[in-house]
Amino acid sequence: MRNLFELLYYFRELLLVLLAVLVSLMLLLTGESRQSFALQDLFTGMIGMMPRTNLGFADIISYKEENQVLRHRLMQYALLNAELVDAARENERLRDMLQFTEESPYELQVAEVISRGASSILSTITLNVGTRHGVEPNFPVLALNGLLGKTISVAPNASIVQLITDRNFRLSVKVGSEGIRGILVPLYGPFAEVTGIPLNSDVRPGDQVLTSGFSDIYPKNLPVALVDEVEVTPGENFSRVTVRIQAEPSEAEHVFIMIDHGPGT
Amino acid sequence: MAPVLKIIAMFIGVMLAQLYLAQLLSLGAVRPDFILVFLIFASARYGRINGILLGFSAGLLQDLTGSLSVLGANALAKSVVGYTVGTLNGTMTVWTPRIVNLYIYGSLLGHAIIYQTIMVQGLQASPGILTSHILLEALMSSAIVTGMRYLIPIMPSRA
Repeated sequence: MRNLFELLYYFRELLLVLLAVLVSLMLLLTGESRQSFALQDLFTGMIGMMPRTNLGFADIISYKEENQVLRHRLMQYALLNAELVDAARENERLRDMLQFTEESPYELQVAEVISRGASSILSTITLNVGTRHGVEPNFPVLALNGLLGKTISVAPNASIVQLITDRNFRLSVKVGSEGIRGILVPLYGPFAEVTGIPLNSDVRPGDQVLTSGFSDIYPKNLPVALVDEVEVTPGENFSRVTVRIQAEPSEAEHVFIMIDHGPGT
Repeated sequence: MAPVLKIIAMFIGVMLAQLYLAQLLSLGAVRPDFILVFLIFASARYGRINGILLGFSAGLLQDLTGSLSVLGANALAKSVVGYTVGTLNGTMTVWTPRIVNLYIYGSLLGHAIIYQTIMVQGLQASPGILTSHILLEALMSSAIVTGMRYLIPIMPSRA
């Protein structure tokens, strides 16, 4: 018995690293368990309580650039708005004619990005709003350019967002003028692939990719990506459609959470 | 200050730097891993056991800030690095600086291979993308470790 203890003590470092590897592998296999989410919620709360960093000069430069982009965008939206007001009046008139009830508009909560996680690959961001602001898990999160992800862990004053570029993110989308349905699967960086697009579909580079609405989380017609490349391989049943995700997770400073997003279609 | 408290205090500082500053130094989709750099220095100084414990707990905390689908990826890679680099604690006076350097850079490459291979599982990423991610992460970590070694020497000077 004593020899066994001596042997264990002699190999203690090796045994410890094997134990650490074993526990890590178990966590990898059972990562999305209820206990893991509870632990992440706790950690999210701690990040939310941490003091914000003031990066000073670098921030001022980036805010100036962002401000210019926003002004430019505001002007574009102002011009677009004039057209939309006219279209809305016509829509209202037609709805009245068809006796449609008015759909409730989306309720958005503005949030600031306070952290981009500690991993060397960006897969989540932390926002400064949580349950106290009406946020719950599985709420869609939007950047100015399009869908950014969904909330996965929510603490009273902070929430973690799983980004659209995360390896486990999947989204039902529609592509092109015909609205062909497919599943968006992230590839690498800003690129993703839309699977399940039949060969004879009219999908071209530059076509818009929107949420299909076949989801309890995302309402339909949220902008997601633009088609980058369509590849047709002889003998395959589906086209390989590569898209470029419009939202830029690494640059977003402020985002919008859809508090009241209604059911999918 | 006791070594454990010292390590914890330094780790909190590094974790904050990782949370708030890493994005500023990102290259493409890969960001510098300050926690890995800290682990290299701490393991070399405090040995294998402390290296494994620090690597596992720091990696786990790092994983908790990200997607739970890869919970354990950093913990696994960093436990192995803590063990390998912890070996330097008893051998630094025996090994030549060149071997120590090779050992450290080899451990950083090992971390990149383990972590990036787990991260691309399930993605339809080509071997080229995986290789570029591995090299980018290893080069970035090596550059920071090399830079930091001018400030914090790992090896005792041989007078």
